Amino acid sequence: MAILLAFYRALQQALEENRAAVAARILQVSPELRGFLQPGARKLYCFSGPGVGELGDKETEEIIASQAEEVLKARKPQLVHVPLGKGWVDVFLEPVLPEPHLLILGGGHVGQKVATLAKEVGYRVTVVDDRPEFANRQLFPQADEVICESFASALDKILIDPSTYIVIVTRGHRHDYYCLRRVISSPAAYIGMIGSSRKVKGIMEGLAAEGVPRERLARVHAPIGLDIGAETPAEIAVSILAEIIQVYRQGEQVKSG
Amino acid sequence: MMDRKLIQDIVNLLEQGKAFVLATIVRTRGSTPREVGTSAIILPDGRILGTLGGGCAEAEIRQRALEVLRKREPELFRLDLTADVAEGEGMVCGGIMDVFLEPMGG
Repeated sequence: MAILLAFYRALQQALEENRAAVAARILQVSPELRGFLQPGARKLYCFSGPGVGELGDKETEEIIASQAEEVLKARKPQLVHVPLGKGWVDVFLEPVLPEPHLLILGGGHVGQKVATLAKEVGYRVTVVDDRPEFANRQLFPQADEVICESFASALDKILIDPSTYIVIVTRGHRHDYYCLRRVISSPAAYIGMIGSSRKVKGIMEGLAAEGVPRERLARVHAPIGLDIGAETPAEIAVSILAEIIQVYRQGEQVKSG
Repeated sequence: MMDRKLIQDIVNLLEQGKAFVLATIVRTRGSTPREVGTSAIILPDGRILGTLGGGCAEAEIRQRALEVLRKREPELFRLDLTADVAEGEGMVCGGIMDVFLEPMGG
């Protein structure tokens, strides 16, 4: 009883604080495992802190932990059948999905339009730029947070979790490179970077040479945005938001090439 | 999807020490009224907080839930909406729904 209440309060708190989590619940257990695994046992997997509750078996908890990340990506509940020794256990996983948090790195023309559109769509928006004339409330009246600091120190402070969508649109190649390198191993739902195909290729090759794994590079959306022939900052912002909405609603598409 | 209202209801009921059944659709096949992950609360007096799609399917789940509340054992209940009988009773969805019924609180 007390355990159940603690679980649901933690779940409620995760929702209120917009933190991504996965609620796991045992549905069925084969007879030989019923000694230590019970239907109804629950665990809340949190990505920015310790979990709450337990399933009753460390091995099961670890298997489910790896499934939990997939459930968050797919954004859909999933019933998982886990063979365990001579028996099995069925676990139901439900994603706790916070509102998307858009992290815009770069307060230039494109960043400004992305911020405006993202608020219109209803997302939480954080803007970072190291130039006071760009990172200010006059340019970003609706943003939830405007941080005027170096990208390095801002990225030290900002929590990046599976509900974070990162848009890299700084003023130059060097900052884009730095920001991408900093976030490429994060659990962000989306990472997009602006730039011509040639610039993107150069940055990717640079990161590959630094030892960033290919599969990490492959998940970067660059050039950023859906290919709709956008040219002006506002049009580019529409293509970026469209791409983010696609990832948010449909999950990461399998990219070819 | 995790419904804030439902979670608030669960917390309230647990805090008040009231018994209830949490019903969750955990697997579907074919066309069903609600999707996987939909949950609802069934109270001992038969009232339902939230919805599992209404109609006969919901009525059948409710009846089963009240039994689960008596037995105090969780159960995976399969609701087959494809049978001729179902059609005869006006269940037009024609799918199969697995519903996890879990006695809580009390």
